[in-house]
Amino acid sequence: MLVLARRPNEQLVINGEIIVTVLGVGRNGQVRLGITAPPHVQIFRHELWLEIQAENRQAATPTQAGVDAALGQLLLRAPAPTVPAFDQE
Amino acid sequence: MTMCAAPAASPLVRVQTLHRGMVEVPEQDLITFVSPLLGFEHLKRFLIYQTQPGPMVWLQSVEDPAAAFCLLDPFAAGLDPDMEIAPSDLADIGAGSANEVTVYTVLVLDKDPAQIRTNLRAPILVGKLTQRAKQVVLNDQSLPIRFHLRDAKSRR
Repeated sequence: MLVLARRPNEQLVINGEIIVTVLGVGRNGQVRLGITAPPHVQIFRHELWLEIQAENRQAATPTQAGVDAALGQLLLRAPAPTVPAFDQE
Repeated sequence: MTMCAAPAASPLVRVQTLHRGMVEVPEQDLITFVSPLLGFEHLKRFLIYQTQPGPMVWLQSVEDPAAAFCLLDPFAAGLDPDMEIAPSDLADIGAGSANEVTVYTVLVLDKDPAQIRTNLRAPILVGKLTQRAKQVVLNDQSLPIRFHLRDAKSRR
């Protein structure tokens, strides 16, 4: 990990296209950052990232019983997606 | 095992599925993730298929037979979320407009029916013409990561 000391209003450049500015440091220790980046660069709080990872992991390997339970909770409406279908075994 | 609609041109590939055993599908039906499903960064190629009519489909990893997800078409399911898809996300999956995208949300099929939920904040986009996909994280904080389906009826 690269560790740099920066003061308010000082900046970092990442990969020539992302600029991180230290906007200020609050008395509570909270650091305010400003980030400018091209539209294809996604920037999120790490907590959000971890939360979505955790939801995906929980979603893996579901059972048919779970599908039936979920269907019972939905009001269905056409049209549903068109994807390959396999008959019941 | 037979397909409902089998395009002729593409060679058949065998995919081991969690719910239907070994199936054969045209290679062009496989989905490629251009940026990873979060938490499953090692998986790139998937098959999306259905075992029953309706808004739910299976997202089956080609590389890992044990990795399968149940996805929901939130519009077909009547959830009608307002999702604003960024042009750069459309470009990533080779879609010219939102009409060329199928949107799915990841379902968590908890044992407790009250906990069955779907992630409206991080939908999976699939380009209808390209079979390229990505999971995006939308900026709209009003879209819940845990939307409980038991609330679906009261939402309408």
